[in-house]
Amino acid sequence: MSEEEKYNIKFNPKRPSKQEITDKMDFKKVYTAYTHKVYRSPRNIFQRHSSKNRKISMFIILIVVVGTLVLVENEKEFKNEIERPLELHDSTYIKKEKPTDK
Amino acid sequence: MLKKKDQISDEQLVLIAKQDIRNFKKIYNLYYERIFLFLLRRSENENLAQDLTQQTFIKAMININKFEFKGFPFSSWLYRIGLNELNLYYRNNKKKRTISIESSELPELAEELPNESNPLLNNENLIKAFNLLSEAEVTLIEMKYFEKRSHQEISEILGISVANTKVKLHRIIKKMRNKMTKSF
Repeated sequence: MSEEEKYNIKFNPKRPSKQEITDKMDFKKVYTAYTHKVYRSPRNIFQRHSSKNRKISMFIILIVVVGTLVLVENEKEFKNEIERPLELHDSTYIKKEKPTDK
Repeated sequence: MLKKKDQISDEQLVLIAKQDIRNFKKIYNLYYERIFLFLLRRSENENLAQDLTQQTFIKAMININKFEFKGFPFSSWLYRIGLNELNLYYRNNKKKRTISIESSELPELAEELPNESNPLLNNENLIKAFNLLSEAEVTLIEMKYFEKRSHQEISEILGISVANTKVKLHRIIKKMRNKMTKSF
């Protein structure tokens, strides 16, 4: 790009009148665009379809709760397994008897 | 004193807009014309300026809760959003940035550049000198010499210190002066 092409320079351009600007700029349009933009966020889309999404969200919560309970139960079982005496794990295990003093 | 009063009313307007976004209309009515003309000067397309002004106010409405008064007027925040929107538009669309110059705005710049009685300051030389500058430098010149903003206001809009604004402007003028002297 040559130096002359870098900017589009205009001398004494025509300016719109105050009334023309007022006609163009209406707050209603801005407010509508704002609400449209804001309500497009994932959270608001979810809220808008709340009745449809309620079942799905309840199902997800149920799965999470059940999953957590299962995990906790498994954890408990695993701990018990470790703490159990060795003879209970292994049927071939013979407990050494202490030599009796005679 | 008047500035202090204005700032208080701005604070109140922002406060009520934070409580209910529909109250933003008062802020909008106060500033839309200034923002529109600010963007029109830099785009020279009424429809584009209208879209960018709308975009500026939507962004302001979305982020109004993040806004806090830190000694700067509310308008400088709006101007900064507008300027960012404009830069974003030019970057995304790869279009040439527009610079609008009114003949009545030139004398102050002419004082800094080679004298008007001297034929160096003609439109052709001015275009050459502007084409040497970056977009940020052009923005500074526009604000200071065409829009007649104070150093304080420029620093508030651009988020730089007053001293830095003065230094930058001095360097830009020097650069333009050198270019115009050489090209003659």
